[in-house]
Amino acid sequence: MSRRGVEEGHRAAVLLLRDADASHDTAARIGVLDVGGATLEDVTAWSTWQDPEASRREGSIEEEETQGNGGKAYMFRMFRTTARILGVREGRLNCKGFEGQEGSVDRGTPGFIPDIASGRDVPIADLDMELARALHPYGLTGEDLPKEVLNAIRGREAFTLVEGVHPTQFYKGRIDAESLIQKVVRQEQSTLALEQIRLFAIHNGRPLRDGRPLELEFIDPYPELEGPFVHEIPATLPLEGGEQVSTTEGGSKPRGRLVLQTSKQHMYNAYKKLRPRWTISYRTRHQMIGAKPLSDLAPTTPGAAFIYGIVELPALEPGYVDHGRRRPKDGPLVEALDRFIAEKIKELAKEISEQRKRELDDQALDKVQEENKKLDDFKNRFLPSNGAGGGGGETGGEEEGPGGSEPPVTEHGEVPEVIELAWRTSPLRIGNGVELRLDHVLLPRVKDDQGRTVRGVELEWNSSDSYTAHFSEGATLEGRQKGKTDVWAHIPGTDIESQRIPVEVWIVDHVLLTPRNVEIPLGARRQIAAEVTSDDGERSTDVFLQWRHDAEDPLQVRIRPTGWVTGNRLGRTSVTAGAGSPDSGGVWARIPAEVEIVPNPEQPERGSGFPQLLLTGKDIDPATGEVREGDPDSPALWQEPSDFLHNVWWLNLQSPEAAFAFGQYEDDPRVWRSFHVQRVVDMVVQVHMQEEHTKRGEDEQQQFWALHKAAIDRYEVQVLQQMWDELEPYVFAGGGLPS
Amino acid sequence: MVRSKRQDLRDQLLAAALRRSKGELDAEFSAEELLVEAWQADKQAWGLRGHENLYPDSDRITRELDSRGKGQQGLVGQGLLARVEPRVYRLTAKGMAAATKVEGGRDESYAKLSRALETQVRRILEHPVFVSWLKDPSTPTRFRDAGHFWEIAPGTPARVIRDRILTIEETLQAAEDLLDDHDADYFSDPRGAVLYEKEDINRALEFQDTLRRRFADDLKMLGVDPSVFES
Repeated sequence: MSRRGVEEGHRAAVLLLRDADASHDTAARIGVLDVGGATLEDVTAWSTWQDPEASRREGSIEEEETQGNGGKAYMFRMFRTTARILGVREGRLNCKGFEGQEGSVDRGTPGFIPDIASGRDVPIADLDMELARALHPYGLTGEDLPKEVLNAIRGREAFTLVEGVHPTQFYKGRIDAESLIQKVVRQEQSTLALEQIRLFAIHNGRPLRDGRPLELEFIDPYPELEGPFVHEIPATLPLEGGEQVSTTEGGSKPRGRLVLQTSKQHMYNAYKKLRPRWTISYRTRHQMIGAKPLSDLAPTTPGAAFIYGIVELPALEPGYVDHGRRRPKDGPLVEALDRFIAEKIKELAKEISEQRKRELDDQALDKVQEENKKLDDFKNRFLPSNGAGGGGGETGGEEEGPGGSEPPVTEHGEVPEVIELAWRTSPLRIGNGVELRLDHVLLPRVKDDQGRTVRGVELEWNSSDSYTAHFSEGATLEGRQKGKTDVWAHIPGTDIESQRIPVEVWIVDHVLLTPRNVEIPLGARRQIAAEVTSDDGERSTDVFLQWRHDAEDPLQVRIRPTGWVTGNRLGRTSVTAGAGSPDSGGVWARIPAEVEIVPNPEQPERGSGFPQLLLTGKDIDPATGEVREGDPDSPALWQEPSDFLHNVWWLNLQSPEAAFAFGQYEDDPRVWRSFHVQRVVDMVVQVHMQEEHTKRGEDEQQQFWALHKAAIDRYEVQVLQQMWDELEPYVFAGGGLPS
Repeated sequence: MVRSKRQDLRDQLLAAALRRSKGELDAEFSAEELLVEAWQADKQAWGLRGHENLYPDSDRITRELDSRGKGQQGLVGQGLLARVEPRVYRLTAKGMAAATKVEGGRDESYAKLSRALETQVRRILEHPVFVSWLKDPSTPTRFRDAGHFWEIAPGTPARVIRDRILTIEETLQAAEDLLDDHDADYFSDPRGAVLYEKEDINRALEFQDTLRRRFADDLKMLGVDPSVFES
């Protein structure tokens, strides 16, 4: 639709639909009537194939951008007979389009219709008469049009009709008007137009929607966050360089506002209905001036897929209005405005994200964790033998290396004899206020008198001076004040203890991080050294600190307490380290390390040992030493690049299907077990598939999906046949898994 | 205080060098380019006598750049410019700091200076030999690692070794002076991002000092008198 300088009150158009009429031997027609008024120059430019500038002309006014071919191609292919543009403006008529036998070259060459004499720059006697002539095939007169369309046409003394006769898609020329209108409304390119223009529809002479303009469908809001959330835009906003830009043109225009709305459904995933509307629309006092997808503003923010909105700012006009009105023009005000919008989106997205994470019953979680360990052990028998061997753990040259289960052993010990800790004799240093999962650092292994690992033994952790450092929960050690203490593990009810590890708690006075700019290939690791200076002036790079990063996506990088950073997703973030809360005397590095995760041309090495299936919300992520939280936007069986390195998979309890199944655990545990078992089988199949393809190394070929699907099916049948006999009683009754 | 004509010429050359370098410590320029830059700013000071408006006088710049004997150090001798090769120079950190003051110490100039210094400081802090030393102060144990840091090796002329070691210290000193001039513990860019802090400088200077003392004998063997660094 042309919007050439059309003022706000005249922005209206009509979609005209007419079914075929066998009795009068007339074919179906589809047309759009608007008030622009195509001129000779317009129809001439339109009629050039392969011209991306087809809709741009010299002069002060630019037409809306097109790709140059899309509209023509539609008109050529989708109608069997005439498809044309008819424009009346400034007392002259022009009409050009396609005529001729369907599929012929003749038809593909646009010409004046019906001929040059009658179709090229023809002076007209009366606008109403020409309008009536144009509308006659639809069984309409000017008076049948919506009042505002007719008034606009008469006010501007102009109209454009783009129409096609005998559309190819409709059976016997019967147009399913409701279905067509739904498609129009949901079409991405229509969304913006519908926000800018009042579009009516008439089918067989009858106004649709009771004569009201077509509207975008109502979006159900997110429960308990229905909104709308209105934010007034400050009078000035900062630019990236720190300068301020006025949002009111120095006070001469009113302030604007941002209105954010929420959607119950994930808008990006609902690609038909909602994705086209996953945008922020920009509006001035008088008009809509464009939109940007939310992915431009808050690309990786969890929860942002449930947000859309509109920003209204009078100061955007006229300087930021592009005549195409697809996007506002770039410039300092839009740059600052986008930063403000992104900030508000992130705040709301965080609330949504928190809400989406469901509270899981602790007791049920403990039981599920136990069952998961058994299933995890059980599945190893069905994995490819190459999953075994090696020492278990990560590659990458790091001193400590959890991750991946131990290589298969023919038997385990039964009676604990000793607790071994993987630690050198030097003191373990920890910053004051820092919490550290000690089991993840010291890697305790309980062994029997023959050196065999004894599984499933509960350990209790102790500190000789709990005022200096104590175990706040389980194996989590917290530094409480400057000083020294010893820590050790013991088995309750026995006198079996581990060696004592000396611990020093440091008051952190300064943290220096280096390097300050790090590029990490996806899936690879780099270490950021943190030199701590204590209040006594002592220095060390071996002090355990808290680490964090500031990316919106918490999984952008994974950071170990030792400063090893794994690049998990492409992007940038700032990484810093420190001890204690900054609000209560904690000290953090003043200068963070800027980390960029870049594409990795090399295949990262998988950790050795059998892959482990771990439980979100319960098990420790070997990449960070902390409990891995579930993610509602990730699949139930979940593996990130950092997980691949550590040879672990996650049963993601926050995925909707997992959360549902888990919710049935108390009432009908078979529902959960069935789901759990299926995910274990899926994992085994995927490991087989990975093995089959990756072992070919550089000889791995791209293959059709059908071949992959056949391979998946083959493994699923093969694996399930082997596993199901033993899994079936477990699903029904919960016990009996052989270890 | 009455400024001497000599001081004015020196300042003009520093300002010209700052403009030529566009705030980059690695930027190089020829003596001729520097002369033209200075002459365009003050044709009377740098022009050929009798033809000031038409031609610059190359003799004048030669006198200011190089030493004219004991007690009359040129810009190179004062450590404000470094000679990269015959008739090619670059601004040192010390020179950039001095030039920034000459320019009137505008915020924009200090921002450029602090950026340039931050780049140099970061190079030091990120150097693998420095990082190893942080983790284990007994390293480096071999001169080749110190040489890696100083970018020298046996065969490098003694004068070059001395200059390279001194350049590091002068850069650090300039960074420290900038902080002291502003009575600050750290320097940030206009967006508020901290570029470097005093502790960075202190650690880097400590490291530099450690290397010099630890490898004093090696430096002597290469013809560098360690006492030259004590001044």
